[in-house]
Amino acid sequence: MLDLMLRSLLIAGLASLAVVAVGVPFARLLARRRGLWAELLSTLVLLPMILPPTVLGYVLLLLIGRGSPVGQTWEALTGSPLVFTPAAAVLAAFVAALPFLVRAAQSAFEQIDPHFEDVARTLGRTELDIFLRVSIPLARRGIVGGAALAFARAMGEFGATAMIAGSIPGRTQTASLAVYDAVQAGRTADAGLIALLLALLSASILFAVGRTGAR
Amino acid sequence: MNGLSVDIVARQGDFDLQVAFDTSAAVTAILGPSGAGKSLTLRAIAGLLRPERGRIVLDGRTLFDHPQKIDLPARSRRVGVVFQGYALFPHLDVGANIGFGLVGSAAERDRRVQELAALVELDDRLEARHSELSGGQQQRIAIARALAPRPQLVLLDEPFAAVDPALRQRLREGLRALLAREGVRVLLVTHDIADARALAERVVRMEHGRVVATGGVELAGG
Repeated sequence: MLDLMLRSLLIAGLASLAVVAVGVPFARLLARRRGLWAELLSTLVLLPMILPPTVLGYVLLLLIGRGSPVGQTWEALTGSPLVFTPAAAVLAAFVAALPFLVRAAQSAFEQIDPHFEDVARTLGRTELDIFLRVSIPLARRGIVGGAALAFARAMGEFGATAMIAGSIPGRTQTASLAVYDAVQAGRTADAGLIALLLALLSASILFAVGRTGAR
Repeated sequence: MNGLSVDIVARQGDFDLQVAFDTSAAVTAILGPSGAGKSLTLRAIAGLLRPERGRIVLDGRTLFDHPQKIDLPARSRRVGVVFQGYALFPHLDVGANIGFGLVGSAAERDRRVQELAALVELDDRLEARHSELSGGQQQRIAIARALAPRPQLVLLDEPFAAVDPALRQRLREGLRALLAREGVRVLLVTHDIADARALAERVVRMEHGRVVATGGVELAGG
């Protein structure tokens, strides 16, 4: 049980780190760009929010399956397929969680008075420096809030994970999947315990993040 | 040439800006009603708005030249800006705001921050947040921040718009003394004749995106 919870935490945690690393710069880019490409990119990133998880999983399966270029490259490099590994579970959680951060961070970046960034430019700062020292601190609340939502989504990820990572006990099975398996197998006490732990864990992390973000 | 020479055509949305003037005065005021294109002119000089055509030269240094494809980024222009609302960084204290544009060792930066804080008489408030300060104090910090990296030119956008009228006269005098001491070239944008009269040696009058007159303070009328 401890093993299952730790694995879930690790998968959701790694996915959330990747979401922040990719999503924050991406949100900043979208916040200041207008036009067809920006709209298209924005729609593409938000798509996992509205697609059925099974469709998302199917698309990912096409992209990283053993027959795909990504899957083949991975297999050539590591000697084993990407599908049905913990890495695939991280990927599923990442794709499902990314839109939550991007939406929140983009709106936080859009709300920054452009004069702050303009002043920083006239003070000799590079765009990267401005991003790190002005934009991120000023959008901090939105970023932290978005990251908390993304983490919650990653912990709860089910459909896409089932399709590309499967539910291999001790390897790719996360708490959300374990609940389903336990119910299917008639182990209702197990299901209840996992559900309770999952809820408590997610809620306490959200609570902690909320407290830090509010300061 | 010594001074600032601007001759640009710019466009933002429907607004069409066509501005040409030269000045070698220490303090020049761009005077005109709101909507005259004063702030756009200022943005173009600072490098925050790219003109369609023309040239901007500051003390012999070309900041923008369309035919020669020169367009120095804002960070390389050595043109400081003080915006109307001051845009003090809310996540930084007074000292960090003043020092934001400084490079070099921590000791050097500290020394320059101290020097400027003393100049604007706020050296006892270095750790304050701007929300704890009055409008006049915020303005002085914004000016100190713009002056810190030793720019060649400082642009002031409606410096007294956010201050109540009773304070304005006193702040104008303070600003005049400060600018004289620091010896930096200043371009001031204002719709207020009194600002131009109190601070500027030279006046550029703008209306509807065009310069309608350039001359001494007598142009400020009143």
